[in-house]
Amino acid sequence: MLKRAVLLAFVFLLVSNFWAARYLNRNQRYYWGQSDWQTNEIHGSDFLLDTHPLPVVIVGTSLSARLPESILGKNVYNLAFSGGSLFTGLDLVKCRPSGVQAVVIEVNCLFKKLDSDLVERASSPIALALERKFPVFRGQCTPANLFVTGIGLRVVQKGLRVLEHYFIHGGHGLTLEDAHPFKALLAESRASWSTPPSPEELNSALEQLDKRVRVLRQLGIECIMLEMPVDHSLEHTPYMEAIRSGLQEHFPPTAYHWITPDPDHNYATTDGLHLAKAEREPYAVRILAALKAIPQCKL
Amino acid sequence: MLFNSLAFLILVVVTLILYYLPALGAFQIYTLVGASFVFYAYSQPSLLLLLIASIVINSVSSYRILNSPEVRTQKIWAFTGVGLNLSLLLFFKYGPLLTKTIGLDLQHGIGQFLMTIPLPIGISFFTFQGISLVVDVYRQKDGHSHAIERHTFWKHFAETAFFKSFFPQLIAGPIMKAHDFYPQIGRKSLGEVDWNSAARDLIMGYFLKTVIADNLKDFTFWIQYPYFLGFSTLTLAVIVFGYSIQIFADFAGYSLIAIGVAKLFGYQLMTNFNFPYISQSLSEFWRRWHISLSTWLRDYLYIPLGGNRSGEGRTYINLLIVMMLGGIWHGAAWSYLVWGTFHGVGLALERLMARWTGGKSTIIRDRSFSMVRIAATFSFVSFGWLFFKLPNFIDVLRFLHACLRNWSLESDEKIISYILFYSLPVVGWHGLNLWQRKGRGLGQTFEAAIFAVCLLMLLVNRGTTQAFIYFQF
Repeated sequence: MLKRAVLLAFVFLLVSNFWAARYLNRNQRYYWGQSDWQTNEIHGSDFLLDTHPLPVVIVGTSLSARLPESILGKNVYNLAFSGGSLFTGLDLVKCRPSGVQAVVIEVNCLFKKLDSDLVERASSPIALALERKFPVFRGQCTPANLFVTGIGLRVVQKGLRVLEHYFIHGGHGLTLEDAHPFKALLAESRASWSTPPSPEELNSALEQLDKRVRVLRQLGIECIMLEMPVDHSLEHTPYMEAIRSGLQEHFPPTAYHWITPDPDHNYATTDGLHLAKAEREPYAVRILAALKAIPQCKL
Repeated sequence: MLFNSLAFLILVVVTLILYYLPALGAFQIYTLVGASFVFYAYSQPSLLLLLIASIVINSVSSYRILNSPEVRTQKIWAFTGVGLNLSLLLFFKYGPLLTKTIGLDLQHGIGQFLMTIPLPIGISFFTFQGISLVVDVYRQKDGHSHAIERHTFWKHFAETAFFKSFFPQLIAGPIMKAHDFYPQIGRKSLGEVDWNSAARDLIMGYFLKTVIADNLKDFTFWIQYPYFLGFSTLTLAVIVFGYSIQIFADFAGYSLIAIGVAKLFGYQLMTNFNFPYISQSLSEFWRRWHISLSTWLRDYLYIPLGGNRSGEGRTYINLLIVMMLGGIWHGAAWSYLVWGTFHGVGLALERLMARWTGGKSTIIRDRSFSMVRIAATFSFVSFGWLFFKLPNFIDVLRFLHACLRNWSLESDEKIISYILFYSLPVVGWHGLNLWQRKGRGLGQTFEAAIFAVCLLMLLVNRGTTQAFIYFQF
């Protein structure tokens, strides 16, 4: 039975590979995974597998990950990781520096830890070789993703419409805002940002960033600091001020390009940290305009 | 050391080679003890001393029981052995919880000391195995069985070290009983290994763990305050369903891997899961879920307390005590006690209902209502898992409030689709078992196709690695 199973598994692998190759040919540049973590891995691998020159790369967290690609354009690769860290992005750029002119570093979330597992997995020569030759090994082409994006989602959507029609008659008009998840998150941020980070923690993070920036500059890559807008009530908290002052000291505007929010604009956010949908496009336009003004970006 | 790590693979291969080398045949047990110490020390080297201390306690107390002619001396050693085992468990596992509960100063003095005690991985499991050894040896005085034989102290010590530390089941079971394990101890040969059976267990175990459980965790992540506040009732219900599948796949997967690896060395570990989600009652569920723990609790706690032989009232009390202690065994947090009590009350009510109806109720008895009973049992158990996922009881209440309130929110199709996809193999596996129980076979080709799909998914659809959920216990 086991020999038969191994043989059948090989056949299934070939069929899945064929299906995966068709999926890759039909779809756009960016793929989503089943979750933020898988999407991060996919982005990491895709970045390393992409042989085209990528003049500008954005690294950061979910704050910058949601910037619309349609505005940023083909010359800006968004390598920001939802739930991830700017250090993960920087280490991946180090693995593939050729064709990169500038790195835009979102500096809001300085304390998110490096995901060394992701860097290791994405940059493993064996994994990259397999993914290059056999698309079925790529994160976006797992049988689960192919099935769900193929027919799974459509079946579930139809089922949900039936359920909503017969059992859920609009309820009492509850909206997502009423459900208060974002208000609870904002309240949490306000509480935790009312005290500055410890000097040791801040210095350690700044040193790590400094080390990576120096390496990238030695490779001829320009490093541009990006501050993403947050809720007005969080902008001048002791936490943000401490981080801002530390960053300005290590990366002064006289030596580095900075892209910062408009101080006169009160940005709308979903949870205090992430830009609301209506704000993302204008801010992406602002970023793009700033990048075009920087000669090294060559946009 | 995780079962799905390269280090573990290297350990198993090297140990297998040394184990079956003819020149080292007489030292097989010592080879396994050595490998087990490496396995345990890999993550927490300093706590290897605790494991060794536990081995010493159990080997000395069980040896003294075996070799003492007087019943009184045997009793003293039995109490000493069990007492020391429980003391280790209380100190290392429940010290921080008790410290917080009685309100000691956590920043200074003894409170601070107790809070910094590291939690030794697997302590709940190997402590229970130690208690099993001491009690089984003590019970041998009644002449019922002589599964654990009298040897020299060093041979007994070596066998006890092996029994307690055998690496496939050291960290998360199955909890072996001494009277089941000791008779198996002996020299094994390569020709005796059931490769087919071991391979099936390993393939299925790794599939459940790395494909099902490790992928489902990406979605059950959202059972966390305040994230769950923003999901519709339907999405929340599906996520809880997904968590039930995840916890089963994680634990059953681990157990199957442990059983498969043990078979490679010629040892049979007990089955730990027997399709628990097709149970038609709570009592049936506890005969199918974590069987090694439930039988341990039955043999070493429920029956000594009197079981169901001391009247109805006492039976309910015994059930509650056993389930509450079984609950708190899972973790040093009061939510686990609540979970255990939840199941204890459920079992007691079930028993009460059966008595009142005299077993005449259609829903209880009629076969055509079996799916209703399965659904009801599964729903009860799934609800109970919330106490596992949300150790803070307030968050459980918030979660329930969100479920009651969020009817009209839009459901998350993506989360629902993926959870249903990854749950399908477990649901299908349970369904196939129901099919086979009616005397119907599967056919070799169909079975081969199932394993082929498992192998394919293992290659191309593994989730990101996380430790086994039950490691924290």
